[in-house]
Amino acid sequence: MKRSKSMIITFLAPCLILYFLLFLYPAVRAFYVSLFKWNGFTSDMKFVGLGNFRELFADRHFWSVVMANSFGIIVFGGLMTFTIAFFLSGMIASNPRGKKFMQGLIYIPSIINPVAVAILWSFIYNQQYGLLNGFLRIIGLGHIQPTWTAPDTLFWAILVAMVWMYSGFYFVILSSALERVPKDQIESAHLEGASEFRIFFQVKIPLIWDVLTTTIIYWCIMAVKEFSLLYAWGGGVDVPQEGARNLATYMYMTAFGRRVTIYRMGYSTAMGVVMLLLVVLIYLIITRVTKKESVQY
Amino acid sequence: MMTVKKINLWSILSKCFLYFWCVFSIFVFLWVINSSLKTNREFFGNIWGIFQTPQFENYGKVWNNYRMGTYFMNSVIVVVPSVLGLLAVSAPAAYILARVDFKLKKTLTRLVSFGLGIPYQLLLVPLFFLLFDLKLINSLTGLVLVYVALSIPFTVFLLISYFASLPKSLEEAAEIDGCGPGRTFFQIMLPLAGNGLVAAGVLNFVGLWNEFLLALTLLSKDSKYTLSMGLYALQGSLQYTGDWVALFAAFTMVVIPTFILFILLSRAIVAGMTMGAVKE
Repeated sequence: MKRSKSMIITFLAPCLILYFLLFLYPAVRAFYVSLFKWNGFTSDMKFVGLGNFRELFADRHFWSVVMANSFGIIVFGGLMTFTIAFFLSGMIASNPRGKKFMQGLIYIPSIINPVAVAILWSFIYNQQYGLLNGFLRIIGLGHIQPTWTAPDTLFWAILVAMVWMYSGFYFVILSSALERVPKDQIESAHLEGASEFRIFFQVKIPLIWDVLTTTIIYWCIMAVKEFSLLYAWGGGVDVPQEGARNLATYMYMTAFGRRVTIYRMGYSTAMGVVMLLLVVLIYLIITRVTKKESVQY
Repeated sequence: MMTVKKINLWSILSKCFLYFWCVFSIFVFLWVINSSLKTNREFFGNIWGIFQTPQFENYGKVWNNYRMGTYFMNSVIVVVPSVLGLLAVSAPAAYILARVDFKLKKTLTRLVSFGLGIPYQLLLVPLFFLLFDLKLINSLTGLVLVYVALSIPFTVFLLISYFASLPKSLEEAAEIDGCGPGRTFFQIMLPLAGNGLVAAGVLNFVGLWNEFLLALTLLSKDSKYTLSMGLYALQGSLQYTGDWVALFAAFTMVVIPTFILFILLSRAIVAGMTMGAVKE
């Protein structure tokens, strides 16, 4: 069907103008800004070439805390989230009583405001009045009273909260994929005497491979970008502690941190560039590694 | 047909896990709601106790004195126009990209797809100064524009997959009946993609209602805060003053609308999510 040029332009223009002006233009400009030393509030931008990146990669804190946490979220957070999501969808698939209700309940944490999630978990972890230690007191372990959010365990404490928050999202996607697996294939595997365990890994997983890869890529990208829960964890009173510092929060704090003003715009944007490169790298690796094993049905 | 169910340790364990997961979530929510109706003295005296008389004034205090009312209204003022504006600009664009052939189609589609993978952090600093130059810092209008622009890639791709799934014969029939391209879009294609619009609307609504990073960057005036920002600020001050029950009430206030939305629209949410995952 013929459509006039003018219609194509009127339909596309508002969308593309906004997108180009407020999304692509600043994204491209970021590469330029990352090459400068700049505090943002004067026009004095000093060109330093790749100096920001050199400084960043030479910074031990960047590797041992920031990157370590970012990768920790991707890998350990990912393993926990996907294991739990699979577990829960397997159980829901067996049609327990109250299935609908439980599905909703599992999903809901992923649409709660992440700042609220941070607050909720601070209630759970609080040393004196928190749920967790209160529970320990009830079962007679009151003498332990761990500080769950002490510096050395903070990262893991947050990770648990994060897994609680996100599992529901992956649960919904994976269980709807698993539901589409043809029943006869599973049944014939059952008849051949395969265990549930083997059926899961050798029949179901290959059949949902495409969805699973997309979902894993999505998790990784989201994990790299993860900001709200970590930043809100500090309770609005100080800069994120080490356990809550990943690429996203560290980058924010370097540019706009409210309590400790740093205003290193170029340096911070260099971290933004690193985040993009990391996303691209992860995407390329996962799509390459997982390509061959896809099974059509 | 059911297969023979073996009752083994594995299935018992995973069933326990399912129940544990659900009971945990229910319990935590009930505990917070219960605590939000106590007095601080009651709460600090016994964290497990049920409230004596419900302290609804906790909510009043949070809404008025701690300005949650303002933050709530700001969120509405930002998110509703954002979602409507987003759909208004994305639907026509998605329609063209999905169903009309023209020279730049591939290039444009690809450019929009970049947006799916770009972390917002990359553009945070340039965006801040761009808005600063446009005098749109601390402005809800500015935030709306940013929300629309940054949500375009996801929304356009979600809608492309809906438009692409409609049969081609529809447009041909419309043309034979003398329907112009504009009318074809508004009166035939758009209503047929209604489910897609609802899904895109709801998913973006939830996402923007909970958005924190951009609000934190672009708003610094207390009177302009959205809910995420307000809650964040409140958390700092209330923990400092020890007014926990108010914080419980603030939490409940922020979470309840999401619950209601979910209960009303869970179908659309799930449909949109799975569509996105399968078609991406």
